Order: sequence, then C-alpha cells, then structure tokens
Amino acid sequence: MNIREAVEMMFLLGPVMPLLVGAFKERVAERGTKTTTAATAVLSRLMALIQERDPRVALQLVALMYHTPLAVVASYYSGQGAGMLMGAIIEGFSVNSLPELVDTAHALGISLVRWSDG
Amino acid sequence: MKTVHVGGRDYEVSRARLGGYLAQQCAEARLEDAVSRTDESAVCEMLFSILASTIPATRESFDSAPWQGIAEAISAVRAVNRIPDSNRFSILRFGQKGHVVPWDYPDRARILWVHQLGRAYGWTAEEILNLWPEDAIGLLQEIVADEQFDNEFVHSLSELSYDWNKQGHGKYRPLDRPGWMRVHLNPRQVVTRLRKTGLPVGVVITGDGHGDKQAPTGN
Repeated sequence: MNIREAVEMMFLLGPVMPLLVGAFKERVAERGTKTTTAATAVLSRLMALIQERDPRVALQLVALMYHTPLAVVASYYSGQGAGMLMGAIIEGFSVNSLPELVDTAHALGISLVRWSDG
Repeated sequence: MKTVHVGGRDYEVSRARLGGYLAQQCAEARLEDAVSRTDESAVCEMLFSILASTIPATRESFDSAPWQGIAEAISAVRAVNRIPDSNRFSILRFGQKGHVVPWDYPDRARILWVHQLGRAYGWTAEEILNLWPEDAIGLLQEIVADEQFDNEFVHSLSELSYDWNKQGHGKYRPLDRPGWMRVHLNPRQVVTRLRKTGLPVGVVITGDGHGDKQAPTGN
C-alpha cells in the first residue's frame, strides 16, 4: 500500500482498533506470550467485527491492500465464498502489519490506542 | 542523525532550522485538523509537508513509496526536530496555547517570528529562519518578557493604576503578568530539619528489599 491507501485503511479500521488491541491483550494474558496464535485471534476478531458492522469494509480492505478498484474486487468476490475474501485479507495483513498500522494511526492521531498498549 | 529510506532513496534526517521547524509545526497543526475532519487527502498533504520540512523527498516518491517507509521517515523527522530540554522554557510549558486571533492565517507563525525577532535585533528573515529553534524560543521569551516590563513601567506612571485613599495616599495595583512569567521552574528547595530522636528506629529496608542497615539510635 502507499501512504494514501494506508491512511484510508487507518480511518476504516480506526473505530475497531481499541477492540483489536483489547483482543490481543486478552489473548496474551491467557497464553502468557505474544505468539502467532494471538495474532490469529486478533484477525479472527477483526473478521467478526467486519461481519457485524459492515461487510463492505472487507471488500474495501482488499481493494486498498491489492491496489485494485473497489468495483473490480466486488465483482471478483461476488461469486466466491467469504472464505476466499478472508484469506485475501489475512494475506494482505502479512505484508501490511496490523500492529504497525495501529501504531502509525496512533502517531497520526487517528487512533487513541497503540499496539504496544496490548 | 538518522537515515531513512523513501521511494528508493536514502535520506539523512538532520535537525531543521527555525524555518523548517515552523513549517513542520504548522503542518502538524493542520494534520490534527484534517484528522478531525476525516479528510484523507488533507492528511496526506500534511504528511508530505512534515516530511518536506526536513528531507528533500519528491511528491512522486512520497505517493508511490510503501507506507511503512513514509511512516518511519515521519517518525524520524519528528524525533530529530524535538526541541532538546524544552521544559526549560517557561513560555513553552505555561504559555497560552490554542489562542487564535481574528486576523490569523495558515502561515502567520513564520511571519510573527520574523517580525518579533527582526524588530528586536534587526536581523533579516533569512538570518532569523536559519536560527536553531531553541535559540529562537529563548530570544522570543526574553523579547516578550522585556515588553511586559516596559508595559509595567508605563502602567506604573498612570494615576489609574493606583488605589487612592481619603488621605491622598495611593497603593499601586501591579499589571497582571502572563502565567508563564509567574511560575518558577526551579522552586526554592525547603530544607526540613528533623531531630535525631524523630527518626525511625530498627532495621532500614532498602530499595532492593534487604534489611542491611541499622537505623541511627535516637541518642
């Protein structure tokens, strides 16, 4: 992503960032270590939040992370299952680290929480 | 000095002089405003302004570079341009913040600094904007303090600044000073003396949790 896409994503995820950091904190408290399991738990929480609030956000995330127009993403995934879309998002987050996004959003004043708070 | 990587090029991030520092501060204020309006384009514009205040990155490289590099560069620019020991300036710690005059405009801060320092010392705009920010702040603090003392002197000459009693004696009502001139940064330390008999007796538990020292006996 370039900085414009990253800023757009920070605004999209801004409202759920405290919940994601909270989910990470809970998971770490349960397991005692910051493992990949905790990161997976956060992504699962993100997916659940997207489904709850606005499923279109998932398409917007994919469009931003893969430099693809939203209409193209929407038409491509309309015939596919939700699992494909979620897979694309998870793969996208492997390049665009969620902790870095949260910390940058905090540094820019978009989010009130930092990942390190978690 | 730190090196950052933006758009395929390495840049040395070195401290900005007053001109760059003011440009950065102005962009930071406008960034805050853009974030509150959720204006993505304005946020990106201001991020570029912050970056351009210190490193000569092009707009093209800014737009196309991976966001992680930009975020790291902005963080480095902010860290490098932080004023060392800013707490020593009372005007920064206790000065009035967020006061906007009706004739304000986006670039007014730069003009105001040039106006104040140029008027006091007769320097050119170029010389002023080439000062280190902390030197400029120290000088500005002295200028504003001098202006206050001059105002106090003029105020003391006026009959209206005295409360007159029936005998014709006047009591001077001093001119109010701004908050930052009233607070002592290094308050006088009060030494409290205790009698030896007032000290605790027994084993003293030190910070590391070991009781290895005997308290003085109260003789």
